[in-house]
Amino acid sequence: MTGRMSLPQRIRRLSALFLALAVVGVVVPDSAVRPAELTLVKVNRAERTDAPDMIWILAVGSDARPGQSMLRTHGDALQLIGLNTRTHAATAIGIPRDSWVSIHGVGMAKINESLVQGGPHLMARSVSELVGIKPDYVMVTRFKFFERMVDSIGGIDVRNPRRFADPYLNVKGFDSGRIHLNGYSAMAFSRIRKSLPAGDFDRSANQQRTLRGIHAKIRANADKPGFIERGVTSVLRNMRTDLGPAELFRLAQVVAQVDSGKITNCVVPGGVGWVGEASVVFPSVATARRYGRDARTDAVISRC
Amino acid sequence: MPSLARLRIVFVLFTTVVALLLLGPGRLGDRMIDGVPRLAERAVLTGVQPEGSVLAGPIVARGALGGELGTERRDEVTAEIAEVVDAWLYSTYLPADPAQRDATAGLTQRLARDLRHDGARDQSVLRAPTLTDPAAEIRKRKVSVDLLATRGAARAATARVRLVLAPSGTTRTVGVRGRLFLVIKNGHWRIFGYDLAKGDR
Repeated sequence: MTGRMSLPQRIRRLSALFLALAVVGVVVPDSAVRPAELTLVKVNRAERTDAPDMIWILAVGSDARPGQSMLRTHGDALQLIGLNTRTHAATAIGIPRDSWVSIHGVGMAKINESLVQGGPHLMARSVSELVGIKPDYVMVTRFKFFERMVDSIGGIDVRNPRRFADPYLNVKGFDSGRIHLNGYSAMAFSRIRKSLPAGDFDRSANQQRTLRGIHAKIRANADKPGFIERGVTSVLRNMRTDLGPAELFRLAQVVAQVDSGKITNCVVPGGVGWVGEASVVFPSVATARRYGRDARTDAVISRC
Repeated sequence: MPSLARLRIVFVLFTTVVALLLLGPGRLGDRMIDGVPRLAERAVLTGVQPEGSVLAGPIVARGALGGELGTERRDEVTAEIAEVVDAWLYSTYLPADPAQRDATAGLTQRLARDLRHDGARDQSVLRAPTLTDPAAEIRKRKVSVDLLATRGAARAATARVRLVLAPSGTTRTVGVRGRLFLVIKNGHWRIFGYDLAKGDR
């Protein structure tokens, strides 16, 4: 039935609108309704008595499309990053996203299903059960934010071991050797899998090269007045987190202090196969656990 | 009716109690930072601040700001942080007797513990040559403070320091420069990390 609304109807509709806006304003920090493009969640609040100097961050690249919840879609990139706050060493353990594992409460599935089924906490648990290290934080980011972040620091430089291309993400391809990547290129470099000889394993290694490039840029700029302070301010504007600004600042300084010469990284190896119609990776749990044992207290993996 | 003498005693006791409550151990403790006298106290203790002496304060400068903070409050916080940083510089590099040097003033408990117990860590940057003259010439002592502020309050800071010392009897100078990282813990600014370099000139 069409027709003009009566005054009481108009009042009811406006009231409902104001109520909805008020609820959103209460739930979303700092009142501005902003899309969650970066989320940092603290998942481990217990002190690491066996390794008090270590911080572990699970970095997850979400393949969430516009309109999708970043915390309930598949994680496309999984890197467990360890930081030693005293020696300034760091390590990254790459986990192929198609790793076939047992997910608590779900059963056997690809490890990146954990984010869909249980958000950052279940994602952290699944990685912890594979590697033997429980992350302190889980950071989830969308591709678009990642691209903008890389562009905001002027792009990054990486060492590419082999030339490769992709018909969808980069037709012209990436040259081998030292190359410069802008935001989109860094995203493509980290996502391309099919044209790489070892597929998901090589992709994970490229993600680690990207992380190194980002870190190198941060470290090169960290001593500029206000670089970290303004960076944290910018991140706070785009981030949903349960961390306070001081804790974020400390984390940022820990990252910036990492010594590039003390970074070691490995990718959990395994075999590839099929489970039904799904192409999966069967990870070497023994190797994953070895990496975890090796790096647990000092962020150093002696050999991959 | 109470005598005048008793009233006087009561009055004195009353004002003493009020004064102690207002000053309190916290306020008395504010004259020191982890056992290092604040700048004002150093002047009081010795009475003299000749130019270039260890008792002269650093040049303090505003640095960069992330977020928003009013000018007056920004200057207050900058001065508070400069005090903490200068106490650390003073206790780390300036005492003539190395046994009196203590690089833990103003640090978080964790960093202080690490410095005391970690023999494997390279701490050469924290060792200064012996200064036989406690009033050795300070050629430069500058602290500038970058702040991170949210919701009108300072949350964290980077103090950029520059210290140049000239031991007496030599033309050589020793320089220390770099950054100290601070957050507020229990209402006090504390250093939780640093990135410093030291060099002879």
